Parts: sequence; C-alpha cells; structure tokens
Amino acid sequence: MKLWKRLRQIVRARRYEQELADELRIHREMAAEAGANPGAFGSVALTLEDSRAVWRFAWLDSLAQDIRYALRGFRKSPGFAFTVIGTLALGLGTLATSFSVFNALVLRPFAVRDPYSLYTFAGWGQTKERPSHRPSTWREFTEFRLQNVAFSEVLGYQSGIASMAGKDASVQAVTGNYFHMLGGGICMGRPILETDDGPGSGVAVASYAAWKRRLGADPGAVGTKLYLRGRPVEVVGVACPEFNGLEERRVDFWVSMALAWSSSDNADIFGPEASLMLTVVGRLKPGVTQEGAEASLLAYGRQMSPTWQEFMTHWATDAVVREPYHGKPPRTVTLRQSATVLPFDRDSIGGFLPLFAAFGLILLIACANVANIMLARGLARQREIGIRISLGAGRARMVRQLLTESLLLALPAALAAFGVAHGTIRAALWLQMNVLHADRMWSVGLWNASPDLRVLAFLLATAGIATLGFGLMPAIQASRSRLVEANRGEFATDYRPARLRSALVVAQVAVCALLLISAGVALRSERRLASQDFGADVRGVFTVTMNRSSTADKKLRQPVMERLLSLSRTAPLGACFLPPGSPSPWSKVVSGNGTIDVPLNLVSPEYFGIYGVTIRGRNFSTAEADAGAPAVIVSETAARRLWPRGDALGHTLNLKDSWVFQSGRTIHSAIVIGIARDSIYSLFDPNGVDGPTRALLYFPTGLKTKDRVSLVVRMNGNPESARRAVEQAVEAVAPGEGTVSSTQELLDRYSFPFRALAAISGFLGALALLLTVSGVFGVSSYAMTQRRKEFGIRIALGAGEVRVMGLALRQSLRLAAAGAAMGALAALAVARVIAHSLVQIDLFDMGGYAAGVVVVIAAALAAAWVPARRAVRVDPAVTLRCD
Amino acid sequence: MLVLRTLSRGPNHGWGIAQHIQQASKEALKIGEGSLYPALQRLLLNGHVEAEWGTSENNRRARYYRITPSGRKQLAEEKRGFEFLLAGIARVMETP
Repeated sequence: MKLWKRLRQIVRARRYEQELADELRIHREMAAEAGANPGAFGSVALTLEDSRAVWRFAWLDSLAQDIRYALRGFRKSPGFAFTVIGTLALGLGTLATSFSVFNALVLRPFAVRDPYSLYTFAGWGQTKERPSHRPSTWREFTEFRLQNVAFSEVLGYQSGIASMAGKDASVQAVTGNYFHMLGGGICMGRPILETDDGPGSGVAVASYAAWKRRLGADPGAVGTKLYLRGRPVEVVGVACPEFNGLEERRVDFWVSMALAWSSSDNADIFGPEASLMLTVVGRLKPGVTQEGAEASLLAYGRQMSPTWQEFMTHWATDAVVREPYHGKPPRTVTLRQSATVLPFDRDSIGGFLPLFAAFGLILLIACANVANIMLARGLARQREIGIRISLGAGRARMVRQLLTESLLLALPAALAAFGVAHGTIRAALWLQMNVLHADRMWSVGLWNASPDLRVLAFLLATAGIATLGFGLMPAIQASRSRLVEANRGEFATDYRPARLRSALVVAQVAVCALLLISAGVALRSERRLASQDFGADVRGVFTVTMNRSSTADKKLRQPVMERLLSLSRTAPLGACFLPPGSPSPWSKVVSGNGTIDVPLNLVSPEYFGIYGVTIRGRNFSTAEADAGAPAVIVSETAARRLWPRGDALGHTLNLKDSWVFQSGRTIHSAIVIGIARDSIYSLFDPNGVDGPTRALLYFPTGLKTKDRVSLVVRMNGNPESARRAVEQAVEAVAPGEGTVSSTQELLDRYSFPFRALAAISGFLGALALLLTVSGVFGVSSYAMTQRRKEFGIRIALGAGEVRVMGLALRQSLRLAAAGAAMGALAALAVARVIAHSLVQIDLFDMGGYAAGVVVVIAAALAAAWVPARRAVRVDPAVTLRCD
Repeated sequence: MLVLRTLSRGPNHGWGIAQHIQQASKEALKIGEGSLYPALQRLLLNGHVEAEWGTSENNRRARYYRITPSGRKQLAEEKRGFEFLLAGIARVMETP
C-alpha cells in the first residue's frame, strides 16, 4: 500500500509539490492573521524538502543524481568513455565467445519436445563406463520397446555418413516414431512414420539446410528419388529449419530403418541375423526418476540376459555367426540424460575450464587497462572530489558515485561485447572451414553456436563483476584525497597510486607474456608438423573407397576402375587396403631382436609409383600382387628396427598373430624383397610416444584380388576440377557407393587440432599484445607527463637527450622485464601441469618461450618510446616556466 | 501522537492543528511548520489520516486532514506506549 502511494506520488509529483507549497503559504497567511511573529517560521525550502523526502525513495534519488552527473562527465570527455567501453567490449566479448561455445554444447537443450525427459540408454554391463550389451537386433529392440520398462516412448537411430552424388552426406537412420516423439516440425511433405518401419525401398526426410544446398531449394523436391548407399530412396518431406534431431552436427537426411547399416550387409536388417548399432533414446515416464529407471532396466536386463546372442562375423566367409552370450549377468545400467550435447556435469565443466581460463586472461588484461585509465582519471579529478568532500559528501557516497560511473561504462560495453562475440563466432566458423580445412570429424558441434539470451545474461553478470574489479580500487584511491592540497590545486605524486599503477602494468605484461609464449609454442609445433616431410608426394592423389559391402565391391569395382582409367589425365591406378593417414592395424613381428609392433598395409605395385616412394631392391610383380604371394616390402625404419645389423633384403619376416583378412587371405610369413623410403604413415603413433610412425610393412595386393581395397589415382592439373572429375566418374557408374577423398585431406584431418590450437592461441596472443601495448602506452604517457619537469631540469643542466631517454625508458623496461619474467615462470608452471595430457606438443620449447618474452618486452618498450620521446623533446624553457 | 489526538477531535487544517496544540498545552509545546508538515506527510503515507481541500472559517481554501480508523488504532497504541513510559519515569523519580 505504501509503495503504491509512493509511486502515485512520484507520477503526480508536480501537482503534489504545488499543493504542498500552497499549503505552506496558507499556513503562514493564517499565522500572520493570528498575529504570529513572521520570523519564527524557518526555511520554507527546508520544510518542503523534508516533506518531499517522506514520499520518495532516497536511494533512487541519489542514484538518479549519480547517473545524471556521470553522463554529464562522459559528455565532456567522450574519448575516455569510448576507450573504456571499447577495451571492455573486447575483453568481455572474448570471454563471451568461449561461453557461447559452452552454451551451445552444455547448456542449450536440443530443439525437441521436452528435452529434459529424454535419456540415452547406452546398455547393460559390468561397469558404467563400458556397457557391453544393448538391444541389437530389430526384434530385441521392438521387444524392449513393448515391455515399456521405464520409458513411455523409445526411439532408435543410427548416425553415419553416406555418399550422395560423390559427396559425403550426414545421414541418420531412424525408427518410425522419431519425428512424432521429438515433435520435429515438417515444413513440406510428411515425416517418417511408423508405417515406414520395415523392409522396403526406404524413405527420406531432408533437413532444411540439405534441401537448400543439395536439392537446390527445389519446391518440387518432395517425391524425387535420391541414391543413398546405392539404393533409391524417395524424399517424402523437408524438415523445418530449427529441427536437427538429437545431433550437434548438421544432419542432412533422416532415412527409414530399411537403410540402416548392419554388421553384415547380406542379412535382412529386420531379421534375427543383423546386429544394428542403434542409439536408443527413451522418454522417462512421468514421475519416474533416473534411479528408478535404472533399477527397472537392470531387472529387465538380468531377466533377458540368458537369451542374449553375441554376434561374430567370420572373417573368411563374411557370414554372421551367432553365439549365446557367455558373459556374467549385468550389474550396471548406463543411462545418460540427453537434453544437451554434453551433459552438465563435472567432467564437461572441467573440460571447459582451461578454455575459460585462457579467454578470461584477456578480460583480465582489459580490466587492468581500464583500471589504470580510471586511476589516472581519478587523479585528474582530485580537485572536484576534494570540493565535494569538503561540502559534506561522505567517502562512501563518493565511492558510490565513482562505482556508478564505472557501471554506466560497463553496461554498454556488455552490449557491444555481445556483438563482438557474435562476430567472432561467425569468423571462427568461416576460418574453420576455409582456412583450417576442418573435415566432418572435427566440425565440432558448432552448427549453431551463436550467442543467445543466456550469453547476454552471462555478459551482464560478468560486466558487473568486472566493474567491481576495475572500478573499486580506483574509486577508493580517488576518494582518499587530501582536502587542503586538493583545494589549493597541488597534486603531489602520491606514491600509492603509482605503485598500484606499476603493479597493474606488470600484471598485464605477465599475462600477455604467458599468452604469447603459448602462442609461440603452439605455432612452432604446428609449423614443425606442417613441414614434416611425408616421404611421399601426396599432391593430386585421390583415393576412392567403395562401401564396405562385398556385393557392391565385387560388382562395381571393375566399372569404376575402367571409368577412372579413361579419364584422360590419369596415371596408372593403384590400390591399397588403407589409405594414408588412416590408423592401421599393428601386428607383432618376430625378428632376431625379439617381438616388435609394426603397422602394416596391403598395397598394389602401382602404389609406390603414384606416391613417389623409391624402393631399393624390387617392387612386387603383378603376379605376386594378384596372388597375394608371401613377399613383403619394408620401410627403412622398419628394416632398421627388425634387422639392425646387416641388410634386410632376402630375410624372412614372421608375424606372430597370423593375419586373416576379410577376403580369407592369411599372412604368416613373408620374404623381404625391397626396402622403401620412409614415409609417414599415420601422423601419430597410437601409443603416443614416438610421434609420427615411419616403420611400415607393405604386403602385396592387386586391383583384381578379392581384398577390399581402396583405389588410388593420381590426377594432374587443378585439384578442384580433378576432384570433381573423379567424383563424377564414380557417381556415373556407382551412384552413392563410393567416397572420394584426397590424400592431403586425410592427412589434414590429423593435423587439424594442432592448426586449430595454433590459430586460437595466436588470436589470443595478438589480442593480448594489442591490449597490453595500449595499456602501457597510456600509463607511459601519464607518467612521462608527470616527469616533464624533471626532464626539463636535467636537460637544462646539460644532460644529453639520449641519456635522458634512457632514464625515461628504464622504468618501463624494469616493469616489462619483471612482467615477462613472471609470465615465463607462469608458463613453465602451467606447462608442467598439462604436460602429461598433451604429449604431442613440446611444451618446453625454449624457442617459443624466448620468442614470447622478446616480443612482449619489445612491444612494451615501443609503446613507452613515443611518450618518452615527446616528453624529452619539449623545450626545457617551456616546462620550467609553466607550473 | 499529538497531531493524531488533535485530529481525533475533528478534521482540521495544518495551522489549526498547530494552534490547538499550542493552546491546549498552555504554550508549553509549539510545533513549527518544519516538523508539522513532514509529520503530516508521514501520517498520510501510513494511512493514518486522509486529506482533502476545503474552505476554512474565513472562506479561505485550506487542506483539511481527517483521522482514519487505522489512525485511531495507532493513536491508542501510541498513547499506551507513552503512558507506560511516563509511569516508568514517575516511578524512578519517586523511589527514594
């Protein structure tokens, strides 16, 4: 009631004021009539003020006052305001960028109906981390669904990549209730329905983006036929733009179950022999908790486990063999909430902490910058503050006023930072695709990482905290003014603000050094990686991999080969079991020295020619290749490891586990007929110790054997057009069956994380450098202005200009050196901590450290040089005269 | 409390209240406008009195204040509190 009255009073303020003034006037008139002494009344203004104060909110009034005053101050010095807002916007924006990514992955739920009730059922097992069994055949799955153990609805899906028109498409095979259960919107046509669950030709729903890009936004797309995995599929609908299912990566097509993969391509997908790798997602029944669901699922699993079947694929005949499950009854159930891409738990947050820390360092530098600026401004306003304090403003009131000013600067900075974050994410996505060449595997869930309202709220909160960070100390400093001196106009160099200033500069330089060192280390290791000699000429070489289905391979390999050979610019065609850059199986090789692990590959004789790998000894002959003779070519490193003394040629190699390939071929031992030049096979040793793998064994295979090989072809000319030619050739004879990749792409896939890391740390380092240089420049200008008198005296007394410059710069050099040293120490400490998890980068690369330290000191000196020069150059007569 | 007591006798305007208190206390208590009007505003805010413009005895426009039921309750409470205090002081003064 009181509040409402007060609000009403504020709204009709003027009328109330007028009435009150009238009342007082009447009071006095009546008093005068009654003969009272007119001087005995006191001040009207004071009475009015006191009466008014009853009605208003005191704190609101003083806040409004502060705000008006602050805005007036900003209008008078717009440069100050813009510098602060700009610096803060940069710092806040960078941190907000990392938060946007966190938001997209951990906080923002999928655009589906009631996401928080959806749980992914990973299976039963002995430990939660490794569920070992899940409903795998179609019948097991439908039975699981019908039993309705803990879920009101259950769907299954399978994600994968299929080739469509020679290009990769992201495809999800889903059960019929997928769209209905998730509430997925369909903008054209119809969704996949339960009636589509079953054998048949299969139907597909295109995502909005795929409709635009691949189907050319054709309004008649519904009803057209596509070839996916070599099978014709009818497009029955197009999904609305916001729907992306339960995936973080862009899904291009949803298809019905008939197109799912199974362990064996021959078996009927819906039959008892096909083991489907389905991801099972269920919606918890209302009122059921996660623990309750886990308990009932466990009971179901225990009851069903005697009927489980294990699936084995017989290598030799490709038949799927079912064996009864021999494991122990399950002890745990793995159920994970799948409302967001990553669950909101300690692991996710722990994973993001280093990212936040690194990006937060930029905000720290920005705040230190702004704090220095506010300190300087506080010193400049000593007189005004002194007057206010002598008029009776309390110190707390002054601090409140100054903090309000800081807040008024931080708020527009937060809004600007929102824009900065938005722009940075856009730029990062573009860079990721075009400059760093991320492929599908590394396109980390950023299909929609733009900042949203949650990020805005985060920004406002951070801005508030940052205000306290950069505003409080300067406010307290400024309000601690000495009244007498201030009124006289003398501002002695109070040592305390100077010390705080220096401390801030040192801190800035230290953080900048830390970031520059990280950037230096990351860049150097990336360069080292990029300049690795692969030992093979990979430019212009493409691999064509057919779908791993024996029917497709047998029938279509010949036509594809013929088509490729007919492409006018093709050199001979080769074949290899695994294209370069793929992780390859390791075999245990017995040699004179004991058993060594060496990776192996099957290649055709043309392979070496295509990649330009020289062989000492001889290559496989065509007969050996087609027959799969027991010959082997070893790489130099392998030869050195296996036969350290003497020549490897002519020796026999024995494999400890005899290898059985899918074609039924086995390898037990082979004679070394040639030694190939070392080429990096896979960029990283899976054991994580030695770096790139150069030891390799090549066993013979040919284009006509039954081995499942990828075709290797070298094309000349423009890589883009060459690639398109190959894709078209493959698509013409084997639509939807072959995937074309360039070898460079495959190798790039492995180096992408390092390029990304180098790019990010480079970006942070550059940003830090920019902010630090501007900060040091500002502080130097201020300090040099203060010391102008001193320089004037020195020059007047005869000191040379160079000497005085040296004196001027010594202070800056000291601060920069201290900062750089602290930064380097911090970098060493951090490197120690993370060394065990980042094996592939040399974290103690002294070159990087040296580079970082040198750059930051040089930058700081350069920033200090200009103001120093200006201060020293001024004519001493001028400085000594004007006080 | 004094203002409320005055108004409990009947509606009055500001000057009238001041006059009454001065006269009823035999010149012992004089309320100045500087304390009277803020007090009246507080009473208005708390809902203990209501105000409206009317005409005074001399045909002059004046703002009349009137006590409300909640004002009467407040008056009774304050009176009780004050009397309690007074009794206490009296007791202290009279103990030997």
